[in-house]
Formats: sequence, C-alpha cells, structure tokens
Amino acid sequence: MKVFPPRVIALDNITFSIESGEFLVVLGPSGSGKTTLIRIIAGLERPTKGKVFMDGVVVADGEKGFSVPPQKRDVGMVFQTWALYPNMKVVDNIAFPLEVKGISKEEIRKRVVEVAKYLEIDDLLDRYPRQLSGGQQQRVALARALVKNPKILLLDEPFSNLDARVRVAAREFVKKIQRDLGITTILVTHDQADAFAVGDRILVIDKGRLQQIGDPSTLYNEPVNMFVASFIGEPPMVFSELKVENNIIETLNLKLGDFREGKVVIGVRPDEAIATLAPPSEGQVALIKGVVEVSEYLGARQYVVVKSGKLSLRALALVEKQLGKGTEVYISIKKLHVFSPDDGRRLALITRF
Amino acid sequence: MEFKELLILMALSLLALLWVFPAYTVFMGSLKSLDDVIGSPSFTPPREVDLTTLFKVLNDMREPLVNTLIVTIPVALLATFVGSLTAYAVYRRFDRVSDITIVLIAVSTYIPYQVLLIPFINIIKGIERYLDLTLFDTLPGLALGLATYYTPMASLLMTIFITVIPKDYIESALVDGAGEFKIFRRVVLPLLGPGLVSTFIFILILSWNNFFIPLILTRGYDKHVALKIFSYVGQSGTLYNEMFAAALIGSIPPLVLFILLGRYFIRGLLALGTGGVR
Repeated sequence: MKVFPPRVIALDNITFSIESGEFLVVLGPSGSGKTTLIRIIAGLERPTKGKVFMDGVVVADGEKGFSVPPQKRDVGMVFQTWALYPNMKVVDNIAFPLEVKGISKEEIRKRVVEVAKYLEIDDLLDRYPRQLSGGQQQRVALARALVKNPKILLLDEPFSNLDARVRVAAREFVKKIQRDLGITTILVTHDQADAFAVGDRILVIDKGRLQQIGDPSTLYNEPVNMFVASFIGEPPMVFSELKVENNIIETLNLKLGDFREGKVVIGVRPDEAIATLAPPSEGQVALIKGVVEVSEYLGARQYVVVKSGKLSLRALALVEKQLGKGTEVYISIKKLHVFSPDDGRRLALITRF
Repeated sequence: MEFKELLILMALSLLALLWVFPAYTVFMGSLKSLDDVIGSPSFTPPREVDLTTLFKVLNDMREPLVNTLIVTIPVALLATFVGSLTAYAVYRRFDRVSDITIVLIAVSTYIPYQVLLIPFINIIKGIERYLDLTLFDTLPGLALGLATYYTPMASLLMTIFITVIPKDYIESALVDGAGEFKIFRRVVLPLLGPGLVSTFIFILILSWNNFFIPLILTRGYDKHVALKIFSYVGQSGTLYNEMFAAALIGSIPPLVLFILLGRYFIRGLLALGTGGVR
C-alpha cells in the first residue's frame, strides 16, 4: 500500500508507503496531524492534494476530488473512544460490520463467536458496552474491526483511555494479534512508549510534516533532527547551545568535522552519559567535569542534571546514595548529537572521542 | 428567612397566582349556569354549582376530541420523523449547503400564519386536483396541513437534539460498512430517544392548540377541539359557561399526555444541557 496525502494546513507533503503485514506507528504530539492522516486513510476525510493507494489501486485523489467512501474501503478502525454502539449488546456490536454483507445469521454468529474467543471476550457477548471495563471495551472494538477481515487495521490512540497498568497488557495483546493475523496495521499515538512497544517502523510527525520514518532503533540512535531526538527517549534528551571556534566546540573541546565557526546545539541521551564521582579508569570517552544541579532518584538508578559551563545535560549515575546539589561529578559521554540551532536538523553524530 | 428570600418568594407566588388565574376562572366558569356566568365577575365562585353545563359540553365534545386525537397524534409522529431525517442529513453533511438549509427552515418557522392561509388552501386544492382526492374539510387533509406546518419546527428541534450524538458512532458505522439508512435506523434513532419524545410532545401540544389551520382547512366546528371551543361564540352573545367547560375539557388530553410522558420530555431537555444521552 502506498499513501501520498499532502494537505495544506493539517498535513504538509507526507509521502510514505507501508508493506503488507507491517505494523506502522504514526507518532506525534497533539495537533501534529496524525489523526488527520489516519482519517484520510480510512476515508473519513479527503486529501486536498495527493493520492492514496491501496494494493496499487487509487482510493483517493485530492486534485480530482475523488474519494472512495469508508464503507467501500475494507478498512477496520478502532477509535480513541472505541465508539461502541451503546444501544446494542456486545454480540450485536461485533456483528454489525457483517450485517451489511448479506451473510446468513448462523454464519455471522459463528464468526462473531470465533473472533470473541480469540480476543478472550466470548463470555461478555450478552452484555452492554456500559457494563464493561476499559480494557474489555477495547477488545470489543478490536473484535468489531477485525471480524470482517479487513485489508488494513487502523488504531487511533487506542491506549490513551486505559489505566497505566492495563496499558502494558493491552499493548502486548495488540502486538500479538497483529503478528498472529499478519494484518497490515497503522497505529496513531502521542506516547513514544506505545510506539516502541509495538511498531515495526515508526513515522514521526510534527506540525503536519514528516520528521523521520524508520525502525525504533534507528530513530533512537540516529534521530535526524532535534524534534525526533527530544520526542523519543525517556527521560528526554537535554539540549545546550554551544559556540564553535576553529572547529572546536567549547567546553567539550571536541573537534567538529567541517563546521568552522558559529553555534551548535548539543544533545546527549541520559542513558549515554554516565556520571561518576571519581574520574573513570582507562578506555573512557569525552570527559567533562560538572556540578550536579538536580537529582532524580529512582532507587536503583538516578538521573542527575549536570552543568559544566554552558553545557547542561542529564546523565545516569549508578550510585546508591542520592547525589546532592553541588556535587562534582565526571561525565563520560558515549554518544553526542550535534544539531543546527536554526532548523534543528542533525549536523553530526559523534561516537568516537 | 432572609428578607431577600422572602421577597423572591412573594414575587414567585404572585407570578404563580397570575398563571393559575385563567385556569381558575375557566374552572369556576364551567360550573356556573348561563345567567350566573354572565351576571357575575369571572373570578367569583358559582352561586350554585351547576353540573349540567359540564355534562352537556362533555357530550358535545366527544366528536371533536376524538377527531383531534386522530389528527394530532399522526401529525406529531410524522413531523418528528421527517424532522429527525432532516436533522440526520444536516448532521452528516455539515457544510455550507446544510447551513443554508437550516437557515431556510428556521426562517420558514418565523413566517406569520396569516401569510400562509391562502397559499395553504391553494396548495391543498391543487393536490386534490392532481391526485383526484378530497382533502378539504377532511381529517386527512387537516392532518396534512398541520404536519406540513409543523415539520420545519420539528426539524429545527431535532437538529439540536442530534448534536448530542457523538460523531464517533456514525463514523464507526461508516467504516463498518453501513449505508446511511442503516446507520440512521440502528445507530442514530435509538440514541435520539428522549429527543424524539420531546419533539413529539411539543408538536402534539402545538397542533392540539392550533386554531387557524383547522379554521381554514375544515368547515364546521367538529373536526378540531380549538374550533369547538370557539363555537360557543355566537352572533347575539357568547355562552361563556359552556365555552369555559369546553376549554377545560379540551385541555385535559394534552395534560394527561404530558403527565405520562413528561419525564422523557425533561430527560430530553437535560440531554440538551449536559450534552450527553447517558
């Protein structure tokens, strides 16, 4: 399947394709256009410009004003609010997509029970949606979307209405289903943990523009701009603006390839900067000395925000006691991301010091 | 009690008295004989309770009451149903065309009935000619007239009630493959429950009270309760006692209906306020 929907205000020139059987996550903050994107794929919105292809067939063409209605697109969708029909029982909710197809009642019943059993909700068939918990409602919504064996499954922030505890189980469940059924799936979320838990590939979007698309590892290790670098990774990266003179970045005293003079933004991931009380032994990388500003104590580990001159970063300290403000620490940096202060794109990735 | 509370209570009591006064007058008047009601001020109780007025009028009212019921209930049903279809179409479309449609519908409810009187008759006569039916001075004809007159208002009310339904349900049904009628029948209509009942009651009461459309579309006084009440006005004088009795009796069916279905009416209004059916 290939999707090309540029749209002036909400989506700006987004082009990507998704393989059959792939689990793609569209990740972005609120208002980034990710929901608009999925709605265009579903047929609930039309692209102003650009085309949408499914299995090589054009299903929407912005310039021609052509759009196949959602009923005919063979798409299964789970909405953020699940949108279970409140006046119908669970069994009727799930059966609804099949009723249009003119299948016999026995056949419908058979398929509904089948899907319900697979999603472990077959004991809930006679209840009404309002009698179910969040996790159960979500499974009913999934059942309804899957029962007609759609070409593609769309999920719009399916986990945001669940409690944190249920969320982890729900993620695993969705991932398992997707793998078992091999169904092409697109999931939209603002939570990067969701994206990393389930996605084969992640498409990061901000303000309607595609920021980066790739597998989780690439996005984490090689973010292509400041937005992706800051949005992905927990705890988030801390940035500092530093001056460069004669190719050397101040404070760090590092040589920076072809960049001669000017300002750059430095970013380091907390898990890739280790803070120690004593200077580390041999084979260590970019050393700086700094002073602890804040310590975020998490028991087994703590993250300290360290300042060294104009450089500020968050580092991991594997020390048992909580480090107080003003403690002097040594930071060993494993990887350094250098960005342009003007447009945020990555200038360099330094791993050798 | 605080002074301000007392003042408010007094004001409300006064208002309540003002409101009840006409009903009280009608009730008193219906118990009087003709000389009594002409001879004494309207708000005084009868010199002697005369029940013959009530019994006579009850008998006279039998036909109009039945006729009005036969007419207004289908009118309210039809107007509400067509209104809900309109509301659904507008809700689905949600663009300039639907905006203009709503404005046209709203404007048509503002048109004073006096302007409509003659065109109404012309249209009814036209339909009679083209379909070879008799509509003038018939109950079906009257029902058609009233339904046509009140459908715009029903549409307006339903467009407000329908906004309470989250679009998610409709969109989910679309993705599920359902056509518009199926969505309307299975998803939207059930969720409109309180709204439908409210509109039904409202239109029913309006058509029950309507005087002019029955006046122009029928002859005689027996096809509608409002006409019958007016029938007691005569050339040489008005039979006030019988008129009051008729008004009293004529107002009972809608009252009973409101008492029975009133809770759905309130629920419908609440749904408007809180923005949710649940």
